[in-house]
This record gives sequence, C-alpha cells and structure tokens, in this order.
Amino acid sequence: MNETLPSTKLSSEETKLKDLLRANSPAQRKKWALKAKSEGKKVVGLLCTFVPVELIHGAGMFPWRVSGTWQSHVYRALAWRDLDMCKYATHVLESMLEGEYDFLDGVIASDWDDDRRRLYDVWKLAGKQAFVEIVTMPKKATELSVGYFAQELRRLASHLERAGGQKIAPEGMREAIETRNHTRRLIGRLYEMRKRDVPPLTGAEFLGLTTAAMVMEPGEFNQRLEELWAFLETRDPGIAVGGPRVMISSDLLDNPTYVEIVENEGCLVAMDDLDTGSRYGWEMVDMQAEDPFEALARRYAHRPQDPPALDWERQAQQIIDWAREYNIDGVIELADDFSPPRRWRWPFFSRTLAAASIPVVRIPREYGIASTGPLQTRIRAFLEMIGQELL
Amino acid sequence: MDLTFFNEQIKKYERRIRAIEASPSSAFLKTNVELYRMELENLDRTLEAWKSGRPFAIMPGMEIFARIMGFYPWNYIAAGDRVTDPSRYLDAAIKAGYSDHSCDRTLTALGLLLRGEMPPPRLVVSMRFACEPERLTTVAAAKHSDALYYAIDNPLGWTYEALKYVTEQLWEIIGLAEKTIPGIQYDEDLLLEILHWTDESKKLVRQNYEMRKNVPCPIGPKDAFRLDYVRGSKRGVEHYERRLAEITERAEKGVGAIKEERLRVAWMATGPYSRDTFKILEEMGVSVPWFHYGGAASMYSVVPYGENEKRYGRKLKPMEKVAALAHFSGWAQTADYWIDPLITVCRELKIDAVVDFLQPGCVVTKGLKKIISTRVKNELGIPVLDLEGRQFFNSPAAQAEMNRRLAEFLELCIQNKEAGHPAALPEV
Repeated sequence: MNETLPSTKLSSEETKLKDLLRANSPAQRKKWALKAKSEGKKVVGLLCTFVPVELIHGAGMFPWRVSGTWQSHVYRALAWRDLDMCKYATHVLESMLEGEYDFLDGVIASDWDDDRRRLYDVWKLAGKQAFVEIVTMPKKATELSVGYFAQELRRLASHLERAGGQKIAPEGMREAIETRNHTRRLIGRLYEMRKRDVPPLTGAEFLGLTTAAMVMEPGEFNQRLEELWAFLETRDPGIAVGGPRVMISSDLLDNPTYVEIVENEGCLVAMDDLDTGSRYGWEMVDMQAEDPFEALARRYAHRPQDPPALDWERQAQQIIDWAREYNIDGVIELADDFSPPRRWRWPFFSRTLAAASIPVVRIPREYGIASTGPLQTRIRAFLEMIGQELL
Repeated sequence: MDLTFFNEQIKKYERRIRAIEASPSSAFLKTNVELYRMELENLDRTLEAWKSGRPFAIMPGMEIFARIMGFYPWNYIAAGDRVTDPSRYLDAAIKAGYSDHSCDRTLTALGLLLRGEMPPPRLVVSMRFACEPERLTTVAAAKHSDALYYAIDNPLGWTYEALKYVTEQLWEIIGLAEKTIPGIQYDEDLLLEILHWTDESKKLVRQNYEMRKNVPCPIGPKDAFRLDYVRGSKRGVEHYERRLAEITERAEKGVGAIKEERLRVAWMATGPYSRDTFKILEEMGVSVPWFHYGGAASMYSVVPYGENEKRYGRKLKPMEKVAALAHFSGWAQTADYWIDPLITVCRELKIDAVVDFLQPGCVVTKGLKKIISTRVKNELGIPVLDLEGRQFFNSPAAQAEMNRRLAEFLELCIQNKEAGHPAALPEV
C-alpha cells in the first residue's frame, strides 16, 4: 500500500496570501513606492492615517505610510529625542536619519499629538524633502469640524498641486476615492468574517493585511485580495477553537509579530482597535457628495476615533460595541507608555469597560520587538483570568 | 469643603508679604506686596463664591470667557503650580490611575480636584492651549466631576480660518451652557469692558518688555518668572501701571535687580521651582530678562498679539478677540512659532545664554531641544544648556544635582563672557 505522505508544500493560494501579508515587512515595504517612482510618480510619506490617501492619489502621487525601524537601536534619534517619548516617532526618526526615507519626495504629518508635531519639526529641519507639510486632523465629528477639515484639505490640495506640478482633476479624485472605498469594502467584508469561530486569518495576519494596504498600489492590493477571496472564504488558519477571543487596542502598531506574541499565549485576536487596522478601513467616502473635499472630511472625521480625538465616550463605546459584535472576552491595550493621549485616557477607559463588564488590561510595549518576556507573562496572566471567568 | 489648599495659600502670601516688608530686596519689586495682597483678596472672593454656590468653570487660558458667561473661573493649571505639598496631590492622581510620567503641574492640578480641595466645576472646557498634557488633565477633571463638558478643537496655525473655527466653538459653548446651567447668560457689555482693559494692559506689558532691554535688567529672576497676564479689570491695570512705574524708575536710574549683573539668560519652558535655584542665579549675578513660555511671545507683542489686526488682517469682533486670546500659545504650534520669537528676543534683550528647562513628560519642549540648540548656536552664537529637572523633585539630591549643572554652566558662560568670547563653549 502506498502511503500518501503529508504535503509540506503550501498551496499556491497560501503562498500568494503569505506574500501579500508580508507587504509591509522591512524587506518589501518600499517596493511599490519605488516602482511608482520609477514610473515618474512622486512618493509622499504619510505620518498619520488621517491624511487622506485619496487626495495624494488625486494629485498624481503615491501615498506611502511611514513605518519606523523595527530594530531596537535608535541611537541617532536619541540625539534629537529622549527615550521617554513616543516610540513610533523615535523609530521613524531613526530610519529617517539613517537615510531610509531619502527616496521620498514629500512627507505629510498631522497634529495627532505633541510628538507627531515635533517629529514634523525635526523632519522639516533635516531638509531632505522639499515638501514637508502638516495638517490639523479632525478631532470631532461635528459639522463645524467637518467644515474646517474640508478647508484644511483644500489647503493641502493646493500645496500638493504646487509640489506635483499638476492640478487635481475631479475625475482623478473620484477614481482615487472609488479605489480606496473598494479597499475598505474588501477589508470590511473580511472583518465581518472575524466574527466567526474560525476566521480566515489570525489577528496577526489581519494586521499584515491592513498594513499591506497602506504601502501597496491600491489597485494591485484590491486585485490580489479579490483573487484570494474564494480561498479565504474557506481557509482555516489553524486556530485552536475554544480559547479566549480578545481585542487588541493600540496605536501605531504595525508589526504583526506583536499580535503573534499575544496569540501564541493561547487566544485569538478576534478584533482590533488599531489605526493600522479597523480604524484605517472603517467608513466609506460618500461618492454621491458634490464636494469631494467635504466628503473626504466627513469620512475621516466620522471614522472610529484615535485617542487624541476629543470624544472619549465615543471611543470607549466603539470598543464596547465591537466587543459585543465580535464576541470578545477581553481587551488588551498594548500601549506605548509614553503616549499621553492614551495614557491619560486609561482610567476613564478602564472604568467604562469595567462598567460594561468587559475585562481590560493595559500592557506597555515597545515599538520594535523588544522586552517581550514581561509582555508574555502579563498576557498569559490576563488570559488565565478571563479563561477562569469564562468557566 | 476642604479648605486645605486655600488655607495654605493664604499663609504663603501672608508670609511673603511679611518677608518683603521686613527686609526689602532689590531682587524683588516692591509692588509685589500689592500683588500678593490682590492674590489674598482673590482667594477670599473665590472662597466666598464657593460658599455661596456660584457656578465655577475650568477653562485654562480662557478665564475671561468663563467670566462673561457668569461663571467664576478656577485657574486650574496655575493652582496646580501653587500647591505647597505636592506629594499629596501627586499621590491622589496616581492612585486614581494616572501615570506619574506627566508634567507635575498637570497631576497636582487634578490632585486638587480629586481631593476636593477646589470648588467642583459646573463647566469644564478643554483645549490644547499649550500642550496635550494640559488639555488632557482638563479632560480628566471633567470625567471626575459632574460638570458640563466641551472640548474645543483648536487647529494649527494663526490664520483667520483657524480663529473663526475656535470662535464658532465658543458660541456653541455659550449656547450649551445657557441651556443647561441656570443663571448662566452671556454678557456682551462685560466682555467689551474686559476687552477694553486687556487692550490697555497689553500696551503696558509691551512697555515692560522694552524695559528689559536695559543693562542691567531692572527685574530680578523671580519677577521675571511671574507671568504678565493681561488684566481684564481697571484695578488690575492700575496695579500694573504702578508695577511698570517701579520697573521704569529702576531702568532710568540704571539700577539692576541683581547686585552685579554678569550674565543675561533666557530661560525656557517653565520657571525653576526651588528657592535654591533662584539663589544661585542671584548670587552669581545672572539676570533673566526673558522667560520663554508658550504665550510669552504673543503676550509681550514680540509677535503680533492675539487680537492684533496685524496677525489676522482685519478688525476682530469681540468674540473673535476672546478666541484670539486663547489661541496664541506658541507651544501648541510647530517649532517656528516657538523658536523664531526666541531668536528675536535674544537679540533684542542682549541675551548671553539660554537655559532650556526640560521636564519629564514635556514633549513640546523635549521634542525641540536639539532644534533649539542648533538654531540658537547657528543664528546667535550663544550656548544652550539642556537642563533636566522637574517642578516637584522627589529628592533633595536630584534638585541639588540640577542646581549643580546649572551653576557650572553659568560659571563657564560668565568666564567666557568676561574673557571676551561668549560663544566659545563646549557642548553641554
């Protein structure tokens, strides 16, 4: 009798999927930006997910989300900053000073917090790019705020037109909005699948996917994801069923290894509250709106808020709603300890979730993968606690 | 009502008045006695307002706005600065779950509220007046009270559009407060009166700046760190006129506050909080003609002041002037808003060296430190000391270490200046 040996080769769809999920890895992440450059496009680095990518595309440029070095040494950056400051900004600065972003033609930051503003200041002083801009992000979802942000976008648009040497055509904007809306629709449908007992991707893989969307050519991202759709509908990523389902809440987390570390302790990250994940893909831009700037402003103002935004109640309620929809057993806030907006929000946030009977824990993390031992211990302890509560 | 804070403040000002009257020093202005008496009266009035149930409001940087709606303003952040036993309030904030890695005043301000030593507010308005921690401590205050809460979104830039956006939000607050809190009503006549006096005091504050150009500097370090707020009342303006007259008289006579002025320093961020530090400055002959805090450049009209037409290119309506008064701190903006005026001031006030006082959790200053030292050295050729410290040190040794570094830097600067080459200093 011939025994059939187990196949150790991945299927071609699995290979394609893994390839897609690695798009934001250090080895790959510049690929599409450099290709766009070779085709004559200007590449604009974005330091905030509130800068509308649609606007950059509409200006004929390539928007590219800036990740920092995932390595732990940041000695160049520490000449400009202290260790007790936002780690994303420090790691991004390290990469900038190493010359990693010399290929960028421009950079756009936002006033997300004091640190982001200061990162912009140093970047501007460095003078590596002629076009270094900063925008006021929308921190409220009121009509006043939407109106102001729309003005900001018009101002940014005129800067982009000058930098790019071409006017932003309405059709170009429409096309850019439609392409990005399509990305959001695809991501949204995948997020729906996270409600299953066995979603098609692990939490780490979901983060790989959403961060891929931030560095790839959007048409290619959409196409590759669509081609994998049938495979994803039935894919079993090998998750052990029955363990706790957790949500990770964080900002500027772009390294899926952190999510893997959490899942390796025996849980499924069934949902996220990340600017690099759910908050990136939530809410569409209204294609029917007459004014594309107002439509963009409205979408970015109404998407789930980041901690620096002004409505803590809304932020907490979003987590609570997601926890219920995604059948979440506990929330892990993987926090940069030196991010004031998240740090100050914590007492209110933990009280509010506790009142909604949602277990929550705050565990500090680095930006690059470091000091993972204490992280694992605390995750394990939290999972044990919620595991006992489930029993 | 826990009156611990009030009682301690009263004792503090009474002690200061006695000390000045007992042995006046040229390092302090005589009009400080009047200032402290006004502070005592203010404490009495605040206590009275608390006892009689007047509605209080927390809105840092916008106390005028609170008054014109009929609220009694509680100067939340400034109260945090004034506590005499900070550990009590820091502990309260940390026990409530807040991190000690934030500038001390933001925690002590909240600690006062948590301990019930301040009147509970009926309205809290947060805004990034200077920085995120100041905004966030105000938000935290709202969450620990039953107050009506409104968050102002103040954008980057000193454009008219930004001002208009802030103004529209002020009108929203008025509408909300009038609808929600009995007895609250916007009083435009009061606003016009306050604006008249702020305009008058602004002219005096500018003259104060002019006096600081004199060598030796007519004001001492401690007085340099007193924030020259615009006064929204006749009495406040009259006090300031007397204060300015004292400074002018000294300047005209060539009298400095320091016995023998050997060095002129610009000090950044917040003042030092220990008496020893001031003693070092005075004994070493170091005057501080300029204290560079978030609103300093606007307050002294180094850059066009908040409601100045030069900034916005038009005459402002009364509520726009209120918005402009709130939206003028350079800290809340990008680096050039903070550093460009510093460069101007250092030239005009003949500054020899800069002390950049960097505290834990103070991203707005720490994130700029190398930009500042680079630009100051390149554009002015004077040295900068990055001086790490905090408002409330938890050990005397740490305070002493900071003072030691400061003294060494000042000594080097003095030696070089007296040897004729002030810029030739090693990196510090």
